[in-house]
Amino acid sequence: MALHHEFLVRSNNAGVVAVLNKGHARNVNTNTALQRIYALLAERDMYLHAQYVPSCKNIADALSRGDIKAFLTGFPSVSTQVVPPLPSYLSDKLLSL
Amino acid sequence: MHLLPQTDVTSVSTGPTTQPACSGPIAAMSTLAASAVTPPMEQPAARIETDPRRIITPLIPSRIEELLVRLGILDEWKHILISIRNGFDVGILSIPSSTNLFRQPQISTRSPPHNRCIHRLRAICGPLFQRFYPLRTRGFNWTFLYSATGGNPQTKLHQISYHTGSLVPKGQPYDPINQRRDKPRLFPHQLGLVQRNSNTDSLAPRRLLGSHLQHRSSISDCATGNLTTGLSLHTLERINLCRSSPHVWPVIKCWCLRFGRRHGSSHLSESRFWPNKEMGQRFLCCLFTRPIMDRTGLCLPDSAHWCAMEPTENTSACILPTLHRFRLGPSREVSSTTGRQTQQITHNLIALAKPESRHTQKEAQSLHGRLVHASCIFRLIKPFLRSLIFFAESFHSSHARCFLPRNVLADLHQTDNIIRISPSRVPLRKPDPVNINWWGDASTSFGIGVVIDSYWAVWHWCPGFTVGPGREFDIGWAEAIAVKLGLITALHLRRFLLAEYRAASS
Repeated sequence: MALHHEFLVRSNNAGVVAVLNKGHARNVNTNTALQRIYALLAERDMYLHAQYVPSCKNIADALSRGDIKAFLTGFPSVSTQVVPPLPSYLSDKLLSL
Repeated sequence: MHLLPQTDVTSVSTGPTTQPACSGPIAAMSTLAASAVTPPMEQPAARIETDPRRIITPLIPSRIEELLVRLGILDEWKHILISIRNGFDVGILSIPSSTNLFRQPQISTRSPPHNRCIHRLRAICGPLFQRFYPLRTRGFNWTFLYSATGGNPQTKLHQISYHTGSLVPKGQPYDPINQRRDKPRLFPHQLGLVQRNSNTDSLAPRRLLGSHLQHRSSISDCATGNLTTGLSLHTLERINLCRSSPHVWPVIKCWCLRFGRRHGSSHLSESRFWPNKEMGQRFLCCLFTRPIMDRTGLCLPDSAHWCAMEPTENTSACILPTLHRFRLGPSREVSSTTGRQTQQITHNLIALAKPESRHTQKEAQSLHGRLVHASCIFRLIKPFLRSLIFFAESFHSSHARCFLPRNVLADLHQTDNIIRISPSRVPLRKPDPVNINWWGDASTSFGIGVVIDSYWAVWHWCPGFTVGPGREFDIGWAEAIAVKLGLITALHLRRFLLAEYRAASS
């Protein structure tokens, strides 16, 4: 279904914010990851706009460091865990919790 | 014979006289003449002799008087109007009895015109006056106005401005379509000339009409200025929209008043172009234009005296042709026709890149340039163009012909696929992003965490897989994977459809 909308994503990494808004990366692996993101966006006619936020204001910072208890304590409104399917090329690199 | 008696009166009487008596019978005499012509006995009508020192013009005095009244200069030009009715005096009417010698400034007894200098910033008016004063310009002839009032074109200028980047290209204008740089001594194809009163009805559509484009400089007394509004406006010749691109900088020549090198540059740097109306949903970028003086010699400077200046400053006040650079800003939307044409052209170009064919460096660069141009419309192909430029830069000789690597072919195939499935009607202006409370982060120590609205997901790095500096995968890659996983999570939760529904319902 064609949405044709641009969605906002927040990150505390200025590099990926710049790369996502620019459209290409100098690093080959990062550019490959960007290609997969853009191919997925093209199938659904969507665009992403990245916004930089400091680490202290990024509510996903605790999750990325594995401190799930502190995250659930600090943000009780975010209470539902989901386990989306992991892409095949990431199955040897990531594990779903 | 009968004789009258002699008198003493010496005066002559003019009373009735008697005819002298014939002394004998008149003999009948006739002469035959074959070519005898009877002369006209009537006197021709006397013609009114005009004064050769007066000239009668065929102009209609009533219309001229109406025009002078409309312009408000009837009092100053009244003698012209009288002369048009009664004739202009030429030559001298009487021999001068004496000779009067006047100094040059005393010859012109007419008061100099009042000049207005309009600037968008109130604070600039003072420095402008100080800049004029060292030139011995008569300051009382100048009024420095502040033009930033509501509803004027200046206000509209800021509302439709899209471009925020560099205003003037550093180098020569580069044409990505023809892969060349415009030579500075040649006028580009988009050169326009200043013209007045362009007839908008007779111009063809699909073109940016001259009346749609106006130029305003900071000086009201521009060569084609409109003195009634205080703004120096003049329209430009039509510009072909088809050849206009966000990358191409057309050059427009206009005639502006120049106050010498430094002062002219400072004034012209404040000049602006703006569109008069919307044309094909495409606006002109409202940029500061830095003038480039015409050194090509195609249009010689036309010097003109400036009444408000001292005679010694005539050389510093002249009208020169000036080249302004501007470019059209990105349109709000690419029409379906343009999108389909770009799709077809790009597809044909990529179809030429076959695994069995060999290409030169110039062909690879040309293909990359065209795809970069297409990426202005189809933004999602940008990450797929990196391998092509790496391939183009890997040539050691410009005459060499190389096969396309597999990764380049794969990227070109993916580029063609993205362009093919993309809609032909593409908005170029980025819409406001929809906030679905999407947060993502990655760390080298643990893994990736994603939060979308009230849902969260977390992934841990596999044992033995490390991310960090000096490794194959760095933190930038991990953050990009976090975005990818967040995208998968949002699609899994159908967040995008929900946001679309909310946007549509609101």
